[in-house]
Amino acid sequence: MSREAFVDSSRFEFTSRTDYSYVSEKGFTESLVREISGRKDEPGWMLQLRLNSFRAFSRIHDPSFGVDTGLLDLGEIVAYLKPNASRERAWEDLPVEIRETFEKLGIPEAERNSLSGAGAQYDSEVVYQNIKRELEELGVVFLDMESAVKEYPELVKKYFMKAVPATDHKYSALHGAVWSGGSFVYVPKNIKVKQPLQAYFRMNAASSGQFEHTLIVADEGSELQFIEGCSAPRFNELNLHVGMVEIFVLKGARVRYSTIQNWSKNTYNLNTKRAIVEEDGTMEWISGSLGSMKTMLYPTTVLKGRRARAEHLGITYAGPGQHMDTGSKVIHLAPETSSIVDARSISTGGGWAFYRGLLDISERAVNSKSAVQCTAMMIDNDSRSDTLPIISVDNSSSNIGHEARIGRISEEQIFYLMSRGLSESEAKAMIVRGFVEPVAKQFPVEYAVELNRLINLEIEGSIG
Amino acid sequence: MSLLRVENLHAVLKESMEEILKGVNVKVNSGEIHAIMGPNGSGKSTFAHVLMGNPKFKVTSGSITLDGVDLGDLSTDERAKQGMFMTFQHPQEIPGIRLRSFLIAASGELGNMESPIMKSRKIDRLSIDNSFDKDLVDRYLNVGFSGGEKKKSEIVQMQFLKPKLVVLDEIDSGLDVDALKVISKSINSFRSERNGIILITHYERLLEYVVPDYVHVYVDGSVVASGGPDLAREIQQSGYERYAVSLREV
Amino acid sequence: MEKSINLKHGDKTMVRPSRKEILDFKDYGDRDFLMACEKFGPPMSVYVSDRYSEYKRLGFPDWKRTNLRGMSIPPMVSRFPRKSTDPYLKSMNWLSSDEVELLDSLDFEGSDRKLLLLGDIFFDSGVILSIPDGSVMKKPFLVGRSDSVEQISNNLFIAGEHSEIQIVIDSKASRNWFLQNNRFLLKRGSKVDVLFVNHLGSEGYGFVNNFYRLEEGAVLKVFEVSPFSGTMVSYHLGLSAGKNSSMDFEPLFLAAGNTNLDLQFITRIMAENCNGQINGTGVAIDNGSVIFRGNVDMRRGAKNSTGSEHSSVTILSDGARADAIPCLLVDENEVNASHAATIGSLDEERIFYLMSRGMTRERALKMIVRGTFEPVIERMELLFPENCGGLRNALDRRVGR
Repeated sequence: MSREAFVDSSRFEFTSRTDYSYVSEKGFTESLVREISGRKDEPGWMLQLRLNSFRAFSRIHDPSFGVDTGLLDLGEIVAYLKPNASRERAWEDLPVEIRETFEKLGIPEAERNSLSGAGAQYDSEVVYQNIKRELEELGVVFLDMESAVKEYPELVKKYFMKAVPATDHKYSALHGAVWSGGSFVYVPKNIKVKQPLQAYFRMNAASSGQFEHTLIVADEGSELQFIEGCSAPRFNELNLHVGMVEIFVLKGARVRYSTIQNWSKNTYNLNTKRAIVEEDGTMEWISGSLGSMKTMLYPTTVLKGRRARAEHLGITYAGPGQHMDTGSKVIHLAPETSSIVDARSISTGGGWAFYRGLLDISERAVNSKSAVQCTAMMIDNDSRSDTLPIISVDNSSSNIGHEARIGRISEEQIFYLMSRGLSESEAKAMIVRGFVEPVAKQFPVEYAVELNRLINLEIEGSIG
Repeated sequence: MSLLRVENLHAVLKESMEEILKGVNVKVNSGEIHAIMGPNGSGKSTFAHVLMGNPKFKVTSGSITLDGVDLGDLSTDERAKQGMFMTFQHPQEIPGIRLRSFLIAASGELGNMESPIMKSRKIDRLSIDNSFDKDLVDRYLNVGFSGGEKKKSEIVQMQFLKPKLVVLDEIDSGLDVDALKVISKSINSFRSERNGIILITHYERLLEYVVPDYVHVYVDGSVVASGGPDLAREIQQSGYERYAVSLREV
Repeated sequence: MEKSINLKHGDKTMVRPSRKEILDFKDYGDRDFLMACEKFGPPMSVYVSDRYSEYKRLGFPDWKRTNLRGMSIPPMVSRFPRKSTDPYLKSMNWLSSDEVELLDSLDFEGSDRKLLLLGDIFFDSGVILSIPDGSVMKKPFLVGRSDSVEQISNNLFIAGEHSEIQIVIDSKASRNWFLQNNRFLLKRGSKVDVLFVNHLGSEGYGFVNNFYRLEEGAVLKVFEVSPFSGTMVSYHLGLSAGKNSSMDFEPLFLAAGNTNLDLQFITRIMAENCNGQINGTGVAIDNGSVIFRGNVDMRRGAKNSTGSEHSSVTILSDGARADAIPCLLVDENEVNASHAATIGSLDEERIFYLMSRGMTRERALKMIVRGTFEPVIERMELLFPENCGGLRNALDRRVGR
């Protein structure tokens, strides 16, 4: 039987005993929504958006597919926590406890490694922000979502929840009502941001929901890379993550969004990620789903303008106790659009990896093409792996190819590597690493290293 | 007698509106063999495709006249019926249609009213002449054929359909010496007073076996020099540089 | 009952997609049921009564992709089947209790439970064909000749151990409405080839639900040619229950005019060393629409088995559309499961090549479509030399009028 997966557990599994200046009541009610808005001192239009979302939430049914959310009692979740430190600009000014937490999570290192700026979320509030002067000079806006609502209302109003309206599904409605934290990025026309921007957050208190909202607007001709990575320690009660990422790629712009999601093993991760791409724009989603108990995550790209492009690369890992329902959706709405999807999954120790994909070529998307490839590796016989792609083509000039393969590690390959001196577990680990490599190499180095270590441990555990 | 006249032909690739043919002038009389040589990427293949009316390209000015008929508005199959033929550099694989029955049907389209049995016998004979494995004739059109077999399949088609003007687009690429000899023999025996042949090639080797009457050097979208067979040998020795240079100086 | 999809793994479940029903559908009632029952012997009556209670609780499915709302089911007719003189053939009404038990053991969901039950209860024709152990049938067995334009039939085919038989299910005439449930039991070592040719009128509806249970060493090959008009819902579930068995489905389809095709193939493997293959080839033209679902389902116990699915659809007109839903469900790691689906358009380079040899564009199109189907038809002809006549022309006629 496999051991627990996280090698560097000590790095993540602890709870700081931080004081919170405010902890909301459990459960979701309209008064809670008003309370949250009030505490954030939000303008009226945002409060209204929250209330509309809340009403939609009360009306919409649970999704008719995906993981079973029967055990998730929304009445038990604490939606909003405000830790005891106001927004800071310099690292040294933060309270010691919070600094220690972040040091353990490696933020200052990341900073030192010349990442452009890290907006770190600490339990529903962005405590630490640092925008480098370069970004400011370029006119790039990178700040926490709450501040953006106040400082750039016109811009935010134009885009906030326009890609994923509250009425989209039950959890987007929930998100719209109680969202808190997250980043806002605006890149002006033709500005190419060379260093990737990074946001980092974690859940702390038991039963705390995470509802951060990331909104990225890449104006015409701009280029941006954004890295989002998160982790949370393990708790007894159920943890919930209903975040949202909306990305608007305007004409000729290019955005790459990388995530490694490594939530603790009792989290429900019901995230929504969507990008709308205009003419000649390009969107790249690089996703690694490693943690959480149950995940429903389908990065979606809507190719709205002519010659828009999408590339979805993903790794999903379903270990003991995990049910991962992940996939990708690409919707072609304009001519000459193209997309590539490469989804790889590993299931082991009783885990269940389910790939759900949608590829929709609308009538207007003439002369479009798409290539989708999903490969799944089942390490042992307790796990399960499924793929269910839906491919829908509505015009006569497009070309679509879809391929999937599910299997185990090739015996011949193991034999070959062992004949060169590797032990069986080393050989297996190498093969699995090779399997994820094409996608893994797109991730930032720290994550790739973590991923490899995780794989090693998992494989060795499964043989013993 | 004038068979093919191409005058000041300009053509663009529709997708990008990029001009590929920049004023091509070629005149082929019946019984002649013309060779068109040029560096890679100069648009030689495009010339063949435009003659054949490939809808990917659009003629922006100039004219193509075959045996007195202006081909300008004609579709590909109409041009074939007028007697234009092209051997493809990368012949398409068409599963489900056997080469034999395809040829019988195609020749019917082009006016050949012989009985299928007569046609079939002819096809067999042509296969033998071209050292073309008889089995291949009963296989699906070009499916699974090696490079050399595909080229031979094109030649068999040419000989069977008997067009007036043949454009051979790099028929020699990828061929070993034996195949080259066989194909060259077929081309030479095909040549007659009733037809004309254009050989598009990059290497001079083919022209040792099929000696052209005229050689044209084609660089960057148009013919920059013309001459006799000696021109081919000169290029063999000094390459295309000279012509590319002179063009730049213009 | 063999369900179409399994949504549980250990202690995890997946949310089951909801099933919507059409309201105000003119359904069969108790009187129709009694009329249908008149012809049954006692064991069959009991079996059918149970089904009817389930039938009554369900409405007709309101599907997202294939619309059944405008449909009306044929009026119930009282018909007593003739007794057959064929030693292997028996009318479905007069099953013994053992045979009814067998029928019950081969219960499945079909494209929809309501539709399957309709066929099981209200059929007006149905046979059991039972081939004894070891017999090798020289000529194919033909099912389906009938003069009526509407038909509900229910058949059971039993191939004895190590027997060999070919079955052709070809109505030979266009129908307005037909529903057919076919159950096949392939006993150990048997070899069964089936050819379905479905004919349907342009406003018609056709439903075919097929379940194949393969025991050890059994070999199944299925060809299906789908009709060129109407709304056709075809469902095939193959179950490899015994080791070393193999199933191979090769459907061919052309959705022309206003045809709607909804085709589903499931190869479910539960034993070792088995092989399940699905290879679908089709063309959608005019306003035709195709949904092709190919499910490879490898269950626990399917060690060293291979499941593969391949579908290729060419869309030739702007009004046509195609959906492919290739599904791989794997619960056993020592298997090879793969699928590949392509949906494509006309290859202009191919058209150009053919036109350069003098074919008009129309002719070139026909040639390419014919070429798409040709390899499959040739394979069909090898197994069923006398039953494929006219297929090529029928396909040809629908393309490029």
